[in-house]
Amino acid sequence: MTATAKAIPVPTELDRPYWEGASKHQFVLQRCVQCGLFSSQPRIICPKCHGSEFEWAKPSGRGVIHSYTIVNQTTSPGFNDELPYVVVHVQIEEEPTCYVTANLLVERSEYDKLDIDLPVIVDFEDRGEVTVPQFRLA
Amino acid sequence: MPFDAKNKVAIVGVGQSAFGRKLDRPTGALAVDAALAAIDDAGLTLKDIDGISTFPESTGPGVGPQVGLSSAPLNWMVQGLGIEQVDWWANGGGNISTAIGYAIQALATHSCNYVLVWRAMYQPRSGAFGSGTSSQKPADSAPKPAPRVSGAGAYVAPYGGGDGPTFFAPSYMRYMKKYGAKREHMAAYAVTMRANANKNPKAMFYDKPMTFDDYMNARMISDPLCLFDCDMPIDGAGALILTRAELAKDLKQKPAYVTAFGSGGWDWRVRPPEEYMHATADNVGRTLWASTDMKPTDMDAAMFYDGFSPDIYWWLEGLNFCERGTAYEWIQDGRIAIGGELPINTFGGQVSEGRLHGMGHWVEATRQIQGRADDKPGDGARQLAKAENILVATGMTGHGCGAILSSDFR
Repeated sequence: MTATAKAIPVPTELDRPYWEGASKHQFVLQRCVQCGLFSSQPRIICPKCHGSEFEWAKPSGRGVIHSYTIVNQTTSPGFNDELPYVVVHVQIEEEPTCYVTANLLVERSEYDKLDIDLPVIVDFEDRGEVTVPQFRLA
Repeated sequence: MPFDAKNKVAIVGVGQSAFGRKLDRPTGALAVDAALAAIDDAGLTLKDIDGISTFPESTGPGVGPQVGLSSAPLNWMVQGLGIEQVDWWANGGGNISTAIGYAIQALATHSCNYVLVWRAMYQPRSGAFGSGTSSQKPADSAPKPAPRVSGAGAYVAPYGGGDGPTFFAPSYMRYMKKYGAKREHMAAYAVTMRANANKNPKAMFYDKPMTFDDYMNARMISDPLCLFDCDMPIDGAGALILTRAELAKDLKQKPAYVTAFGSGGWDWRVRPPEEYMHATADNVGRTLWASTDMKPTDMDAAMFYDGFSPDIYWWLEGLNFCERGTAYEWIQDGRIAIGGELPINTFGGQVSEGRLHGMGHWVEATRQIQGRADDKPGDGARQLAKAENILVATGMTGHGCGAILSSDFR
C-alpha cells in the first residue's frame, strides 16, 4: 500500500466530457467544429482556424508512440510501488499535432522492446473514483 | 531585420554568492551578496544602478523570498539593496536569458544606463522539486490524501509524469532512437563537464572526479536520463552588470561586448518531446546568426544551458555547429574539452557546477572574454588561451536567448 494515492483528475466545465467519457470507457477528444482539429487538452480558441465552437468526438483510439520514458525514480504521489513505469506520449492517428500523455500498460518483460513509432491503442484504467485513459501496444 | 545589438551593450561586472546545498543563508541574502559583488566588480556603486531585471517574476508587493521559493523578486532586491531610484525594470520573461535580453534592449534604446541582472536559486530543506514522496526516502507511515488536480495538470499528474526528468526524458529518448545516440556518447559530455568543474573551486563537484564508468553506472532516473544527466540543485545566486558600450570603456573590467543576439519563442504545434527542444535552439540560432557576420567556426567556446545534458545536442544542432542528428558524435574525442575545438561550459555546466538556471553560463562567458576565468589569476586551469568570441545560449523549454560576447567590437 503506498503512503500517498495517485493524483485524481478533477473535471472542469471545459473538460468534463473527457473524464465522463473515460468513466464509460469511451475515449473522446475535443474537436474544432470548423476545421476538425483534434486537441488533447481543451481549448477555447482553435489555433489553426480561430474557431471557437468545439465538439466532443470519438477518434479511433489508435496512434503511435511519439516518445516515452521508463521512470525509475519518481516524485509523483502514488507511483513508488509501480516503479519502473512507462510514461508515453501518443500521437493520435487523426492529428499529428495531438499528443496524449498516459502510461503504457505493458509487462516489464516487454520494456526492452519499446520503441518510438510503435502502434498503440487506447485502453482504460479504473482507479476507484476515477477512470483514466491509458494506452497499450496495438 | 533581426534585432541589431552589435557593439551597443557590454557586460562589465559579474558576481556570485556562496554556492552550496541547504545553506543557512537565505536566498534573498545570497542574491544581495551576488548583486553587491557584481556592482563592486564593475567598479560602480549602488547609486549608479538605474535598471534592474530578474527571473522569475515578482511574487507580489512586499513579499520577500520564502522557504521553497527559488527566487529573489524585484521588490525584495530594491529593499535588500536599498535602491532609491529605478528608471527601468523587467520581470524577465521565460528564463534568465530573456531577463538579460530585455536588459540588452533597454540599454541599447537608452532606457537606462546600468542594469543589474540577478538569478537566485534555493532548494527547500525538505527535499527537491516534488510535491510527493521520493523513492530515495522511506515511505511516510501516515497515508496522505490523493492530490486532486484540474486543468493541464490533470493530464499529467495521474500518470506520474509531473517531474522535470520525466518531462524531458522522452525528448532525449526520441533523439536517441531517431539518430542512434547511446548513453556512451553522452558520457563524453558528463565526464568533460566534471573535468571542467574540477578546475572550478566554486563548483559543487570541484573535489569529485568522474570516470566513464561512473557515468555509465549512475542510477537511472527517467530512462534515458541518469543521475548525472540532471543538473545539480544548489542554493546560490549570480549577478551581472550591463551597460552601454560607450559607458563600458572606462570601467574597472574589460568589457565583454554583446556582438550578436538572438531569441526564440514558441510554436503551437510542437508541445511535446523532441521537436519542442529543437524548436528553441533552432529559433535562437536563426535569429542569432542573422544578427552577425560571424559563423560557428569563429567561436572560441560556447556556454549552453544544460538543465539536462541532452540540451547540448539541441543547442549544437540548432546553432549550426553540426548537422541535425549528429551532435552526439560531434562531441567525442575531446572536441568540447578545454583545449579542444569548441570548449563547452568551461565552468562545469549546471550538471557539475550547480544549477543557477543559466546565470552560471553568462557569468563564465563574461569571465572568459575578460581573461579572468581562473579563480587564482594565472593558474591556467580553465582560462582559454583564445577567448575573443564566445556564444552563450540559455533557456530551453520553448523559449530562450543567445548572444555572442566578444572582447572587441565585431
